[in-house]
Amino acid sequence: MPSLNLNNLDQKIVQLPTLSVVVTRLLELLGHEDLTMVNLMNMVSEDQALAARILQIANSPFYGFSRYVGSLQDAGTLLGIHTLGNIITAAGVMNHFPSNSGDGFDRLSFWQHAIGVGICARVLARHKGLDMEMAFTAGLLHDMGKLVLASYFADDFAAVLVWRDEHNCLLRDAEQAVLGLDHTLVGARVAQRWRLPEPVVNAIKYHHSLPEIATPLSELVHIADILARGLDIGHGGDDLIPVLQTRALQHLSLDWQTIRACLGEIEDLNAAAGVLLKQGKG
Amino acid sequence: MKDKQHIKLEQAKPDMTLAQDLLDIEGHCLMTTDTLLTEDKLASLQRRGILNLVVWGAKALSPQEIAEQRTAAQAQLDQRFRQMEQEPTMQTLKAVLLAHRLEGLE
Repeated sequence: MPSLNLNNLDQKIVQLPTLSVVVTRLLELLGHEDLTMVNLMNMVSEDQALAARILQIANSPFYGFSRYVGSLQDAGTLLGIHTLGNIITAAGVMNHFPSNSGDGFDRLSFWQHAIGVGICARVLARHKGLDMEMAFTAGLLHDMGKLVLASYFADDFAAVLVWRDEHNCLLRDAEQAVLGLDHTLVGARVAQRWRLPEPVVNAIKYHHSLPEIATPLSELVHIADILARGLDIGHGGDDLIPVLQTRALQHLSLDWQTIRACLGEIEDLNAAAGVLLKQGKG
Repeated sequence: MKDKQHIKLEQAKPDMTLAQDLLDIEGHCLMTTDTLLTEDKLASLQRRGILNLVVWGAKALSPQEIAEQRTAAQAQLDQRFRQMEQEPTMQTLKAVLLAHRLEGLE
């Protein structure tokens, strides 16, 4: 009998650990107009693991700086508050679910897939003139519900994995069959509780099943998830590919030629993205 | 013109040549484009947690090697798309991905 279900989901989520105090405070302040770079950096410096992860991401190939970004002050000057806000969101969640946890779920492959989706979303966003930073963060975090299930509902998740293996199905279908809910709902509820940006929460919630009127970010992440699977980047918990909802392509005016043109760029960035998987200090 | 090939570290072999700079965790360049890989260098990359590489395409492949790579790419996509035979959009996507995989092979 699973311990998690639709009726007790909210009650269970309230009992889960929150993000670090510093990340929580930063997420609360990021939308405020009076947040200054000095205040932001002072707060970040209180969390060494967060600071290390921010520098790691800032030095990743996505930003293409010709020199090493060695300090938070450098990162602030070079990146600006908007980009830093997105990095903080991503870094806060990555630190909460480190890739070396020994809970039986292959987190290294999971994060490879997540980063791959972030890269796909970022590249597509650039082609369409959308917010690349938000696209990367939303792609990176789209499956965080799986980590919540694996970390805090281990017995339920183990039963889901057994169902997946027995029925040769998507992880999401197994979650629905065993728990009556899936990682998109769990991830969105937790993301909401952690006060992640609303567009990111929506992308987490709808990346498998877009509503009639979806945000461009949700559509980007939906497509990005499918492309990352098609390119065999990491492993998100199953080796299948979900159906691509064609209206996402239509709404974003994405044609196959553009997608084909993005694939090489995605693989170039992904080849250098393994650096993001190293554990930060602290 | 030389072609770039995206490979996983476990697929890398001595005598392959990097087609893209390799960065470490702090963004420092570990090896530059055109570095010739050796057993020692590959072991070093493994210790540093590098997962993927971009290498220059090796010497021209024989027809048999091309056929083997085509078969492997097709099989990988067949596995991934095994429940999508009846979905026209997914078949188009699969064809796009296969064309990408085979780019530069022939």
